[in-house]
Amino acid sequence: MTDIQQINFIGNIKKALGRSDAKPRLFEDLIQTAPNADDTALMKTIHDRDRKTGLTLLNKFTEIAKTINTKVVAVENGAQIAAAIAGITADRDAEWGDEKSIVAWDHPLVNSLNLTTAVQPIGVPVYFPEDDSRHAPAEAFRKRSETALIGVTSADFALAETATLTMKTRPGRPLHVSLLPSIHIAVVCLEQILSNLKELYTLLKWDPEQKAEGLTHSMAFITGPSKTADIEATLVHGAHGPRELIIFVLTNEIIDC
Amino acid sequence: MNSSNYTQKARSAIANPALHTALVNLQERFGKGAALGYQNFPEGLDLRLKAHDIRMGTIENLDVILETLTNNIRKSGGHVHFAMDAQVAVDHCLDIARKHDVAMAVKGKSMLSEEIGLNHALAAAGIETVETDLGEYIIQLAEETPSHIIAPAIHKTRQQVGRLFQEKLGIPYSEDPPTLTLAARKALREKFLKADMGISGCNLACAETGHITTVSNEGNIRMSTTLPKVHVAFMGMERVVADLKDHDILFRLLSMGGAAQSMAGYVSYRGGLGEKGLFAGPREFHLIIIDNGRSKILADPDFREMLCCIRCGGCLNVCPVYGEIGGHAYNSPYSGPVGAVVTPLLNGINRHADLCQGESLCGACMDACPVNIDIPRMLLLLRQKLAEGDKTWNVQVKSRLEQAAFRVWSTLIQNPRLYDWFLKTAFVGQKFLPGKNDMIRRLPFAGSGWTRSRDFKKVAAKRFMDRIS
Repeated sequence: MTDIQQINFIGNIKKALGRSDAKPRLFEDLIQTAPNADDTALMKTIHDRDRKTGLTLLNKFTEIAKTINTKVVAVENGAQIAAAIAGITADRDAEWGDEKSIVAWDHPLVNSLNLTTAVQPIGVPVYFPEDDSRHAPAEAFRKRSETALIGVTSADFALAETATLTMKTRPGRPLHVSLLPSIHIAVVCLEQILSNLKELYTLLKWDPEQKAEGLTHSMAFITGPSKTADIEATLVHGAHGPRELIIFVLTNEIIDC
Repeated sequence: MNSSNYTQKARSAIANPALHTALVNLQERFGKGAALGYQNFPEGLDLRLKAHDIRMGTIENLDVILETLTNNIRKSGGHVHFAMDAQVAVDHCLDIARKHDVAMAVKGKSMLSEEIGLNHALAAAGIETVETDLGEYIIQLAEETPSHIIAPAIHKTRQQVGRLFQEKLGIPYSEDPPTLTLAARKALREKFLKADMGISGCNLACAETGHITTVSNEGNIRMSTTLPKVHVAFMGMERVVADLKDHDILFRLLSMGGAAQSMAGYVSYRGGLGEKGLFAGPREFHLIIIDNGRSKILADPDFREMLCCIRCGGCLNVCPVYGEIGGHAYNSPYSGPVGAVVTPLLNGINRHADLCQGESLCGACMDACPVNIDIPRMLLLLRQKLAEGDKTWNVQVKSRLEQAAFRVWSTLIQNPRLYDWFLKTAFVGQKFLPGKNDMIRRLPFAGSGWTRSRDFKKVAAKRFMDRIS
């Protein structure tokens, strides 16, 4: 589908560039289309990374996170995370709803926490997206998200150097769970920690699995809780998004991340 | 017409101590922070030079890159529209709004939307548009215009914001930033959940993947583009990179240049939403790509470099002139050194003649620019066009008198005898001018402007050449 406005618009650019249509340029000639030696080496480094290096990255991640008001907690098993989330839930006040509630992704790692059981004693419900490929259930789940105290997600990767979480959008994992609740809690495995943005982009660009999936319709990088400095350059947390971000890193368990 | 306006606004900004404190803080924090940050990149300071080459490469292949971006967005079910000027861009947005029965739109900060006058157009069509970046929200409530590209309300004090919120939001007066932020959080939450349309700008699109990216720290852009049923993004035609490799570099430089951050709080890649869109989220994604004078800049090899700009606002954070006169004097959403080049090129060089003449050519902007744009070169070139006139850009000579004076001066200094005579006459003549020691307090005629704020050195009794020979 090419419209007349597009033809004129692009034609105008060609004219400004003094381009003749005699030899059209190809996009493929402008970009690198296959991994070079550096890219391949970096992918191998990421792939072969051992547990010890992983723990070093976790330390870096934790240290940087501290500087941006983000708490990183290393834990050995899911039960500890569930107990910690129950503790946080009991400790904080509801912001948007009258009652406290939790919304969570439908994700193997999140499901394995058995959150529902963990927070039952304090009488807090946990909601999961039932079927977000249809209108009514998706709307109903978003309503839950609007009033929830806590949103629990996982992430695709965690970047140590900037304390960043990255996530593509997939069924059962709506964007609003990390956005609407007052507190965002993310659960990731040690193996998901990368060094930096460069490693992430190398994977996104060259890793066959990542490439096949693409960036999806929406990919988010989350670094710290919502913040603003728009009034006299004074830093304030909780402008529009979550006012608190807590990240649990599973260091021991072998789980499908 | 804007000339007196510039001087007037600059004067009142200079006389405003609260604004000064804010601008000093801003420049201390962001300007110095970015300078330090550039040194700490693994690639070092050379990254800026590399980024400049990448940007030029993109600009020189803009036709191919924009077509690829468009095809890739459409492939994933997104809509792309092209707009040669502001009116067409606004019309596209109004069409989409009508199709979706939009009554209210929430908006992320976008200087481009200010450039095309989007809010006024939507208001005229009966659509309420709410700015959601805290700074933009403040100035929207105050019915003012942004004075910085990324810190639009930098000119407002906490007391002013306190009174504004007391009046407009009906909350008790407070000058505590967390309390005020919480009030805005509550007020805007309702708007986010109710809005039918989310509007955003675009920091950098990626042609290879078919996405735009938006950057914010508050999360307001994520809210605006995740909750309403339709998302409309506005993009200046140059705000695109070819692939993820380029994106990596430019994105890191954007965060550092703009806010001295290694990584902004929230970065979102957005592309087409498939056939049906998302349930409980946007059903449609529209990208409006805008020219509005940019292809004219592209066509001029001397100014083409300006299209490398990624609008981080980094040059404002170091500019000594911006630091004194603030953003409003620039009479455009684009202020500071970037505004002093872009605004005349987009809106008329004569009309905004004061902008390039007001800058000091100190070069701080170029050092602070994450993509190393030679802004001083272009400021000088604009001055040249104003001095000599220019057909392509339709520039009239700004001052015939000044032009004539320089012609006389040129003749004078090329003729030694005439020059000697001039010096002697001036030496005698200057005795009649008010002065002290070897300085003249007030020059006559056209020279009076020069001595309004400084003294002029007297002509010496003996020429330099005579003294050494």
